[in-house]
Amino acid sequence: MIQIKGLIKDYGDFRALKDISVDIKKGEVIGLLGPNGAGKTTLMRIITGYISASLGSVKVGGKDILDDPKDVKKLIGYLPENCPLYPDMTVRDFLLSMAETKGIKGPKLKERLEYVLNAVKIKDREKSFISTLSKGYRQRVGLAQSLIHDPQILILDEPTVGLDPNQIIEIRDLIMGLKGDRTIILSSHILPEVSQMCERIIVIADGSIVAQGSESELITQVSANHKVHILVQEDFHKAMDLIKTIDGVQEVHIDRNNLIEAEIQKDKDLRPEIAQTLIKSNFKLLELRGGEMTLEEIFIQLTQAN
Amino acid sequence: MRNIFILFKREFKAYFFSPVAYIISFLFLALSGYFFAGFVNRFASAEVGYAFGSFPILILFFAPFLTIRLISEEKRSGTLELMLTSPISPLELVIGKYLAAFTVFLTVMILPTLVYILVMGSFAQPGSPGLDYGVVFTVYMGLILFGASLLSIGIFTSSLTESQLIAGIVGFVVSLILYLIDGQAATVRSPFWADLMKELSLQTHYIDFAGGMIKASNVIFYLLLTSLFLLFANKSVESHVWK
Ligand SMILES: Nc1ncnc2c1ncn2[C@@H]1O[C@H](COP(=O)(O)OP(=O)(O)O)[C@@H](O)[C@H]1O
Ligand SMILES: [Mg+2]
Repeated sequence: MIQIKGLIKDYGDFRALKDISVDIKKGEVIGLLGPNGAGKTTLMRIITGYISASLGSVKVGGKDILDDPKDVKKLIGYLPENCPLYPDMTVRDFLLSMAETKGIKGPKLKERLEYVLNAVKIKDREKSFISTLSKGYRQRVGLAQSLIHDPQILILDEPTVGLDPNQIIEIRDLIMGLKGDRTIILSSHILPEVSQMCERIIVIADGSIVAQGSESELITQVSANHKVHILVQEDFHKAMDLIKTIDGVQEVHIDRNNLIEAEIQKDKDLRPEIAQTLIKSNFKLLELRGGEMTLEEIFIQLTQAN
Repeated sequence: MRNIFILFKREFKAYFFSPVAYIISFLFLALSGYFFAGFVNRFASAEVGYAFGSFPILILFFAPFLTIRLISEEKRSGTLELMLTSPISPLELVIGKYLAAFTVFLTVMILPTLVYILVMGSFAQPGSPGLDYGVVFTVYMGLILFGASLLSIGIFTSSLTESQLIAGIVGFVVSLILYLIDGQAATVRSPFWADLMKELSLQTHYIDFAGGMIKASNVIFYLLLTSLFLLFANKSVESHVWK
């Protein structure tokens, strides 16, 4: 659906995107993940045709945005960063007017309007002026606007930023409900958010793709070793020394709460052996759990390594 | 065409959501009415060209207020991104918005002045030559072409910046220079430059209209100037993509 090849974007002397290549298939839900300033917005703006690349090509539905800007733009629904809207218009007028700009006419106009009003659950606010809406409702209007022409591709730039936790869940559920057979690209700097919604996560840092894959693929990609946490009732340091002797354990630490953390080789699961060894030596084992790297740890590792 | 009409419609409506159009209309009519009444009191004459003598400079002051918002505000608020990622071209955007500003100009500034014509028509006394409707026509044609040029300068400067204030000031200064440039012609030695400065003046080309004459060169001047600044505005919006 979207083929990006060798994309480079320079803002003056500053290279915001460094050789990005991605292939996005029809129906995929892609999470573009990266810290602020990574280049997510820049990449989305190039795909939507708002700005042009310095080098490289973007093909959407087989067409180059530079050759057929209008055809490509019809395929895409876009929610820009910060959700810009016309505050002086009512929700209804705004959406009708956006529908017209997207080339919808006749009886389809009202049909699409009703559809999106219900899809994002703002039917009850259609007569309200946009300036009077809360941030959460504005975000819905922004989503409605991106859906109005029933696009095959949805591009959403940080759709949940600035919302409170309840609103985030609502918007997230809305987006998942909208999926259908659409291709969706959404960006975020919060990992759990994309990992919940997206099948494939593309991690971008400093204008380059540093990793991509599903959540579990990212985890194996990053963590050379995984961790096991062990808590015994007493003799913590003796337990630690004992664990060190088990084959496959690479490093053992103990923290202030006497929780032992053992780093285990990537492809081994030593939990049964650790438990057995400790119990045989009469340690009172209180707790033993596999501690995989948290999403946050992965994110930090991925985006800071480069 | 369809896209232009869609953008025109939205922009035209937007003018009446904010008080700007009403305030401009009120101030323009108050001032033009004041000067008009002053003229009528002194001369009790039915010469429209003179009675409306102050109108170009008033239009010069008020027309920029109709255009400053047009593109700068969309840049500031980010809605330009919604527009430019829709299947419409920058030129359609510029022309749709321009036509809206032009229609508002006709509606809130030009149309109400027809009242003055009614007033003058009622002066016509038996024996006096009365109101020359031919001159009324040329004066209005001149004012409308003059206004059209100013609005195109305004939309161009509005496309240059996110700030309405800067857009307004630059637009006004450019307009004022083009209006007054013929006055400077006398200070220039070279006859070539002096002629050029006269030819470039928004004021020079209005005079014939006020006198009741339609000259092709004057009409073409205003139309060219208008098209030129609309093309500049288009280039400026387009260039956004290449930033
Ligand atoms: N118009 C611009 N001019 C100059 N630099 C820009 C411009 N837009 C973005 N940048 C820079 O490019 C980098 C990437 O920005 P952006 O794509 O907005 O990142 P993200 O959306 O991931 O936060 C940042 O360092 C930002 O400062
Ligand atoms: Mg961004």
